[in-house]
Amino acid sequence: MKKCITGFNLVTVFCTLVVLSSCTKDFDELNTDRTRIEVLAPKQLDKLFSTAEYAGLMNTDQWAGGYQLLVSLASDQQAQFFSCTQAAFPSDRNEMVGRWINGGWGAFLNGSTTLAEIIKQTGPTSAAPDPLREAVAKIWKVYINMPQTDAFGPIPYSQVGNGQDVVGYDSQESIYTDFFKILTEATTVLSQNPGKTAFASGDVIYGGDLGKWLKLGNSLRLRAAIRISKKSPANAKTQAEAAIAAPGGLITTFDNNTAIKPTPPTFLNPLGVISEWGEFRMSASMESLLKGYQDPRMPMYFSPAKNTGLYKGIRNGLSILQMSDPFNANDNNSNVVPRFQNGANGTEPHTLFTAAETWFLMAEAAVNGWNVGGLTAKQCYENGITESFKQWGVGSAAAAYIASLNTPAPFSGPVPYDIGPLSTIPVAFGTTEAVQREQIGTQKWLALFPSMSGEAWAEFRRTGFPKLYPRINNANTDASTDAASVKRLIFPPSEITVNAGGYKTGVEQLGGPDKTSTKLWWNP
Amino acid sequence: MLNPKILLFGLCLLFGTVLLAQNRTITGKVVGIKDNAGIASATITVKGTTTATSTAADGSFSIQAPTGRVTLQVSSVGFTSTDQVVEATQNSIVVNLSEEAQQLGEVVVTALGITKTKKSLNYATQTVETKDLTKARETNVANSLSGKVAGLDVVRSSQGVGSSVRIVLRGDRSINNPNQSQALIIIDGIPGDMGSLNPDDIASMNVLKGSSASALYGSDAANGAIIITTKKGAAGKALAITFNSSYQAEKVVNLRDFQNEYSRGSSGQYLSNAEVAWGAKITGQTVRNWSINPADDTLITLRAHPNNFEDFYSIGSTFTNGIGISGGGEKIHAFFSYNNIYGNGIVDNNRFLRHNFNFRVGGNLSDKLSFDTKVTYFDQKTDNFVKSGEDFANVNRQILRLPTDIGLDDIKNNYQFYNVDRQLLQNYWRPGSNGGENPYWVKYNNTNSFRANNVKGLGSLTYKFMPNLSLLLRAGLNRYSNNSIDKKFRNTYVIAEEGTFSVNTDSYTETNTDFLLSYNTNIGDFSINANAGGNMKSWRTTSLNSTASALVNENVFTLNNAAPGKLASREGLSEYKKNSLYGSTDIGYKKYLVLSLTGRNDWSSALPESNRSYFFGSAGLTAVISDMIQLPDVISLLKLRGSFAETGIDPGPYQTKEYYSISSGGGIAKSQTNPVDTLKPEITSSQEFGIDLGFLNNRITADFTYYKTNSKNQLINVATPPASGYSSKFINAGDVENKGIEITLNVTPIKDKDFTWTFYTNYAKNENKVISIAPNSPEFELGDDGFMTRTRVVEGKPFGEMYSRGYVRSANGQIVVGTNGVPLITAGQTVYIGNSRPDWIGGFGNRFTYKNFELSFLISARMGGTITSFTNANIFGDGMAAETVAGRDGFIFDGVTASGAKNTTSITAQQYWSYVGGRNTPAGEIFAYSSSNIRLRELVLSYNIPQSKMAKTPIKGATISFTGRNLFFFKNEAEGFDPELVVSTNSANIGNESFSLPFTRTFGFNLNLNF
Repeated sequence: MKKCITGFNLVTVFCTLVVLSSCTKDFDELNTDRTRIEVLAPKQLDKLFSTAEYAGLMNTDQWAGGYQLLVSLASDQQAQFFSCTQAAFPSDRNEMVGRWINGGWGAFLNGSTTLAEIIKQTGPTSAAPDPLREAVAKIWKVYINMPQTDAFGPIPYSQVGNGQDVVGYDSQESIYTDFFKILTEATTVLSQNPGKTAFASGDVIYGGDLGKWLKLGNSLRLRAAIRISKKSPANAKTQAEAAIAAPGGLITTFDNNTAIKPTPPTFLNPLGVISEWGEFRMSASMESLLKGYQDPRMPMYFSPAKNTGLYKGIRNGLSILQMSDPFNANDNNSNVVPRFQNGANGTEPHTLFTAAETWFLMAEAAVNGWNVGGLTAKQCYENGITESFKQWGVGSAAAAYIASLNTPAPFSGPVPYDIGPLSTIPVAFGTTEAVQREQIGTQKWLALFPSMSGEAWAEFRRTGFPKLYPRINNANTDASTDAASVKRLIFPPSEITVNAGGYKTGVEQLGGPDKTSTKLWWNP
Repeated sequence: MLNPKILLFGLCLLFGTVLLAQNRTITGKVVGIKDNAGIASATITVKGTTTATSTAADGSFSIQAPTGRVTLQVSSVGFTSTDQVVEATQNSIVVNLSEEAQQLGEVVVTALGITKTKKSLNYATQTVETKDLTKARETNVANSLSGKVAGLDVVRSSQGVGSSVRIVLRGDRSINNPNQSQALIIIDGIPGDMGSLNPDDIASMNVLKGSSASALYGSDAANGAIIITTKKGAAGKALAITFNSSYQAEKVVNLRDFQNEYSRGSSGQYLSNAEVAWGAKITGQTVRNWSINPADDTLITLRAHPNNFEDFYSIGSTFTNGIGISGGGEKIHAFFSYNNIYGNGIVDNNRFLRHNFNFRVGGNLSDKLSFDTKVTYFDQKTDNFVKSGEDFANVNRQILRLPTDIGLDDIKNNYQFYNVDRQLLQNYWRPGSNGGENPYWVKYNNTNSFRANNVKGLGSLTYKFMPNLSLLLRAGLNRYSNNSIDKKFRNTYVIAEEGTFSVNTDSYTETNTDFLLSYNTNIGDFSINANAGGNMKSWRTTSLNSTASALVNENVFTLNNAAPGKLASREGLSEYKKNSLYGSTDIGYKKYLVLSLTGRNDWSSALPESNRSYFFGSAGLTAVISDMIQLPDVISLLKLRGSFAETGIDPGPYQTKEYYSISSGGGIAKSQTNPVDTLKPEITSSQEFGIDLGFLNNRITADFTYYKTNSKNQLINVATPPASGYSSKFINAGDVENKGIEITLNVTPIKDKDFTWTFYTNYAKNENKVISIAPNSPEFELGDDGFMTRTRVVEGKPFGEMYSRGYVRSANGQIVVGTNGVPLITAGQTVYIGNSRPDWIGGFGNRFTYKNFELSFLISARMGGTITSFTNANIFGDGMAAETVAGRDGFIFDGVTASGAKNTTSITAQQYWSYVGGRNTPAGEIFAYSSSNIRLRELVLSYNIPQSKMAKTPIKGATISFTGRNLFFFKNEAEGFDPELVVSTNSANIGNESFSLPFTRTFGFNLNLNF
């Protein structure tokens, strides 16, 4: 301090002041933030891709904020993977909470626009075109956009990242058309470059292994084809058969399953983060199927209830009062296994695509009478179960399960929760098309647990399988207690103010009012 | 360079000279001719010499004078100067000063420290009576200003002792920057803050309300400025010591009404693990204990504990002790003060210890060169700041949610236990709860400490080339460093399951270097007062924040104990420079017409090169009509004033370029804000007109001011479609208008020898209107409280409109109920519930003086505006509030069904309140209240112990005061809380109460001694 007082130097001060107006030379440098990056070095684009991978799944922070809002509180409940036990949350009664949808939408678009930037910086018109990175980014674009269009219908897609005040929405039909287009482009590029890598460690899914990305690209193409099979059967057949025959193959063995790895401290396993808050438990539908089929995946998926040591689920759509009923208390019901709880959320990969799903997609294609490389629907169905069992470490029990004639169990409890079995179908592959379709849908639903509820909800809306229990209560005037009554999520209310022009195009493309009862394009 | 040794040598030399030249001491007292009361800080000069001194607080003085007959020149602000002859044999005198005919002869410190007579000002200023600040003490001086200054609005955050304070003059202007609307605080010419200021050091405080007053300060003062000068010693004056000691006690006044009839549980059933109180009627039945400690697996008798809330809080106390020493030789004077505050909050482990040191030396180095230096040091340690709002570690949150069937002593004595694995666990009725914690677990196991250090240094030299031409050179340094730590024990549900520990350090360094050339002259009837100056300002902030979000060894709080992958660090760095040149001139004609012009050019580093330089200025005219023409005798002053000003405001640093950010762990993320490289400064233009009136020899004075400001070109971060790649972008747009009136009235109805009664009143009404925001952006989101209320800026509406969820209404306005009979609530936060800003604020103060007694009180009003209570949404939703007793067995909500038929379906209070209230999706419409309140803010009774009673002691003056603050409300419509205690002082949260500390009443005792 002495220095400040006595170091007062008249001459210096006076001189600096005289040249005051000219001494702004260092201002530009001074006004550059040194804790951030202005221009990305090529290698840093890889790290940006990690962000696009996490944020594309709405896993934007250590609290998995967007994932909670649009997966845990939306598709997890609509697909009935879990039932809500948090009294403050009305979404399990079909209520649309605008603030949550706004939040999840923003989190997703954070990822979607980051990815758009990567595609821009690697595309043919960029300063440094990079077809391999571009191809990977395109496959990822399909992966992340599919659950969003399946939730809302039209979404901003082709105009994402336009930097404008209005971002128009694309119709679901045109989005699916583009999915097929860019998947074909990307898989073609990748199949011509065997053994190469892209994004290296920045790719937190495959570590840059292009062979695996190629398989994911082909498998996604099959997923998309099956999705549109009701609306556009001819194109679906073409796309599905092309995907099945494509070079590089599909994800058909569990060791090729797709999963994203956490990077602590920022990006954690989102289910692990959320399961810790005690806001959901196993659903009654899940209990009926796993119990009735004596499914060996039960202890792999769920923990016994803390108080009783039994595996127990809860009906969806409980009222606030019903949630306080001890029958529905957290400690009397099953949470996920410790593997998906907090302790492991820094290391446990989050599964994104499984071989089991591929086989169930092929099984449905076969039932449709499409060419699935000479395999029968039964073979595909049984392969699906086997791959799922192997994935969960119970592969040795697959053969007995496949032959099992067990049927779903009733859900017992006090009124109004008590209800009979979910369905009457056994595991063993049936002989009629109707039974087969239900079996394929039911087993796929079981195999998609716990991290792919978006896909499970879309397929449930398309096929009606598995036959999920009705909700105990419904608080949405456009829906009912019927499990299939919610056809989509409403657009985020924030769009009406911040993107009014875009919202208008969204409603137009939707072809109906912005309500949960309006059916999507692929779901006529 | 001045070497300290040389300085010391110089000091010795100067004192030596003093001793050689003078050989007698004259002592005496300067008193007012009317009330015979001592006049403090009057200046006494021996005519024909440079020897001078000033009087102590009681008016006494002592001065060295040559032998023989001398003349003393005695002057003081507000009094007519006089020459007093002292005969050779006379060594003790009493000097009577008469008050200046017009009080407006009063000198006020204006921008850049330029002193002017109040009469010549063309804008409204208000001087704050400093003696009140040191009696009814607040640890933050800013809190003492409520109700005293017309148009000054103060709210504070709810964090216990040491909370932050927001001061706004004439309404909010800046849409985007939450702090930009706050007034600038200038201490001895250098920007500072009130929180670290020792009230005993304040010599004067002057509030410059409009930007015309503060145009010379540039962008920082676009929202007005508060100019504080601190005490200094006086040359040629004997040592004077003042000692001040004060004790203040703060007691909770419970404004809330809890229900004590029903237990925890649901649907009328007791549940031992419920957090909500919708359970059984409490009739002394036997139930299972709440405790989860296996040792407590017992049955207990159910009973209510009506005093839980009040009993949780203790009597808060603040003990302040300070000493001030001043003195000086003929040419050098010095002032030293030390002040110590020890405080205990109403949450008794919230403690506060502050030291303030102030050392100031100034004087004349030669006839032409004078200097002034000051060093202040401030050290503050706060333990356990109370967390605010929704933070689960906010102890208020947990105590407000404590159900009546659980006793306070029970949870206090049993807040933790060891399980069979020797692990320390929290004892709470619903383990793992998302939001609930045992209040005592929070209090004792979620702790924090905060330490702030601040050094301010100031040095200035003034050189008088001629009596009317001087140059001031000044340099100032202000450096803060803050350190804080935060600990949470393992098993703190949800927020710290594995225990957390965080360490934050941040620092702020600001330097200011400036010069000011002043010149004044008279040419015939004209007077010219001109100033030209320049300033270089730079600041730099750094921060380092490390958090271990899981700890390996239980409850060992060091970053070394972080679990792998659970240590996150964040570094912040921000730098800024601004260069300025400015000038001002006052041209007076016959002392009754004054034209003032100011101009300033800033060069800001935060703007792009093309817009870096910007100019603004002000012009004003003052006419003292009462000096121009002969008015009736009853009118002692009539002054008209008017001014126009324009001020530029630059943005914060780093907003002109796009960046990729790096998150902890090295992740790279794209910016979500679209920058503009063509940013321009924001412009606030203002105009004000006023009349100052004085009647009956200024026994009655009144000021009336009308003002209008428009803030345009605002730097606004507008929301853009997230799909565009950016969730927001910066633009220059907007026009926020504030217009209003301010009235002050001071009346002295009685004034005689023993008794004086003065009352003062102030009133300010501000009308704010957002004329435009941005093209295609009729609304701007200021922020939200996380769950209930969103605060917006809406075109055509006043600043700070609040929206929340609310009832769904039919076309004719009736509330629609669902098929279950429960009213429907809107999905989005789309229901308008009110504006968060007050309509008008005012104060009414009285001061009675009888002989040595003085009684003063202040009533303040903050009227209009809406405040939402997130606390109420929760405690109503959870069945804790008394209002939730009605309808427990069923009632029919007055509404209509979707078809328009009258509702006939009965629901229970639980169905209703748990649906409209609660934490996650409350309907704010139901929990919104008027924030109008009128309170007895301050009461001071003091007694000056007469000198005669202390003749044999070294004490020259003593004052004892009894004080009270926030004594009671005359009116308060907020249900259960103080509407001036808000979540945070961020502009988005002014209308949100959330789990704040309870209202408290403060009583105190103050002793002031002068030696």
